[in-house]
Amino acid sequence: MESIIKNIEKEISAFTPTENTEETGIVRMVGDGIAEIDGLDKAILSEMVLFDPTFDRTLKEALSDPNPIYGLVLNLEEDCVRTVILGDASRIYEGMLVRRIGKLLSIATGDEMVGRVVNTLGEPVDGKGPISGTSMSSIERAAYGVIDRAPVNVPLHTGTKSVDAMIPIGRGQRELIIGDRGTGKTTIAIDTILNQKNEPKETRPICIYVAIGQKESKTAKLVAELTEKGAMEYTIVVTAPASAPAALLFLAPFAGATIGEHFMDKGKDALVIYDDLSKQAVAYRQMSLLLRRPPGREAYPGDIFYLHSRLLERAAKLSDEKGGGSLTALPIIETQEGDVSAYIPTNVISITDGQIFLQTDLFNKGMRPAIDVGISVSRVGSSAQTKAIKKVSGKIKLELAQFRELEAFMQFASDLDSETKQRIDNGRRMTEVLKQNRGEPLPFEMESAIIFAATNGYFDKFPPEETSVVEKKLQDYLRREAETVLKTIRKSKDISEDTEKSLREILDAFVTRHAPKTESDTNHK
Amino acid sequence: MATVEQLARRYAHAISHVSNEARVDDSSLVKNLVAHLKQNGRLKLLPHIARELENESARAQARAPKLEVAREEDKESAIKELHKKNVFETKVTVNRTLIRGWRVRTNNTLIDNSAKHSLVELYRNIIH
Repeated sequence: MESIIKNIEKEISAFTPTENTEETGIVRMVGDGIAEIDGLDKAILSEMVLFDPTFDRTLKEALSDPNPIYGLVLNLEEDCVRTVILGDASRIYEGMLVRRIGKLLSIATGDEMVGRVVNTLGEPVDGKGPISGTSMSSIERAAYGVIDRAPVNVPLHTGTKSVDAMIPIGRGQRELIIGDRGTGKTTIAIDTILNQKNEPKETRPICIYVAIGQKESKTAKLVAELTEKGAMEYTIVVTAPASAPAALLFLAPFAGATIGEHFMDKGKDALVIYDDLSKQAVAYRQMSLLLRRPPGREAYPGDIFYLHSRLLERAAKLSDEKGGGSLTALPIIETQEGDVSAYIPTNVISITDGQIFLQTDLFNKGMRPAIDVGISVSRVGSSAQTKAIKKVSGKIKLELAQFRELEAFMQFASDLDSETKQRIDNGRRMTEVLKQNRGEPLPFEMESAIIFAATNGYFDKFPPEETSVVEKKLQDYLRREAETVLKTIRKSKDISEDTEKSLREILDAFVTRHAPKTESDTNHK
Repeated sequence: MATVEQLARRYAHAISHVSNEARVDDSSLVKNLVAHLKQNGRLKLLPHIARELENESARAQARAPKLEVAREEDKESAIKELHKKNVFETKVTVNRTLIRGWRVRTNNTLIDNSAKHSLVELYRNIIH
């Protein structure tokens, strides 16, 4: 035994540590999550630096607190660099050693991340242990160019009737969801994730939900809901809670895009939801002001447009040569008092390929989802719309527009001619049909069948105020009686003449069975 | 428009550059500086420039080559190694927390040849 100890001691005394040359700097000033560093003359923008708490401590002290803190270089100045601290800023002190690590800010990405909740740096925060099989990817990356892209022509079904029928979204599109607080923006996004369960596994997009500046309790509730409904099987949640440093809030959407791109590059489809970019803009403003960058409109820095455009431009549908994958982006913007002309909303509206506008008034009237179809648009989605839905939903937007014009006359209903009355009733029925409860997305074949029924007058035999109830009954009835028809629509993505005939027969049977008997019917009997 | 601090920093930077590179006599340098400030109506900057120069000198001191060795007997071999790297003027101190080896910080470069560094890296790699 003694000889073993002696040999070990000999080995220790003969130990020559490997030489390690690094470029270093010293923290000159720290405060508000920003550190000013002296040195690091060769640092580059967006580079990660490492604040080393072990440098001037004994080994024992160093091992008790060995975790390095990362920083991100954002300002290169004449005599110093300014970095944002991506971690616990209270551990940084004046005179602390900072090392360059020569890497741009990167996060872990990989297939194993599916089903997990991670922070902005890709580290798991769900208590399920480390994520294996990941590789590091830089979070800043130039978007794909024109040559690498293909037209958006594959639909992404949201499961929300009004969206799929009137504001269709294609895979690779960027569709903004905009509205005041509490109007159901997140609900549409979450329903879209839930609806992907109806898609076949091989074409089901991987969903990435980026929670920016939200309460952790809200995110936990959302994860629980997704888990309960089996949606976490294909979902990744990136969370940058309200309590996180501003830098992590502003970087979170980029982390989400990077994770999404991992799947897109592999030829898969991915959907990323940024909830929401207004909070990201506020975090970026806070950081920019602390970095002493000159403020512009609404005190946002001059490059706030670039921040959002370079993020959203990463959404793409790739050409077959590039694997044919796609990254669809659903950014969310919260407006104040419905003001879409504010700085950030106008910026993001101009960047995206359309917007779903949610109105507080509609929400308060009980219209759920509270989508204002008049000003909501999808600029590229119609070419991606499924034939079946396209066929049946052609008239809806026009009917609803006519209804809105005539809506003001509703209070004089008794004095109106029968044609106007009919239009108003149709509009009311259509509005009711488009209502949908939270967490109940519908597969597209069911949406097509219901919209077919609505546009072909199958609800006319029911009083307009009962349309919602009848629609629920019709859904149950179709699930029971029209399984084959629904399957055919799903398979062919179209409503052929034969399918239409069968569907009409089923709908006729439903109306005969459920429509209230008129007085003349009763007298006749 | 530059702030007072920015202006003072620029003056301080220029003065230290001239003082180091051109080897100008310090008293004449100050005399010329005061005359220049007076002429441009910027005499109020003088205390700020003095403060900036103090900061610059503190920074320069911090950047000066500093060699730390774990044991007195490692001194010679460490200095030899440094000479190979063209580092000649160094202040040497013994830092027992390094356990073995040596480290030197000169300008913005750190050469860490210590056992402590290796052990901390090893610990980080095992734990994370």
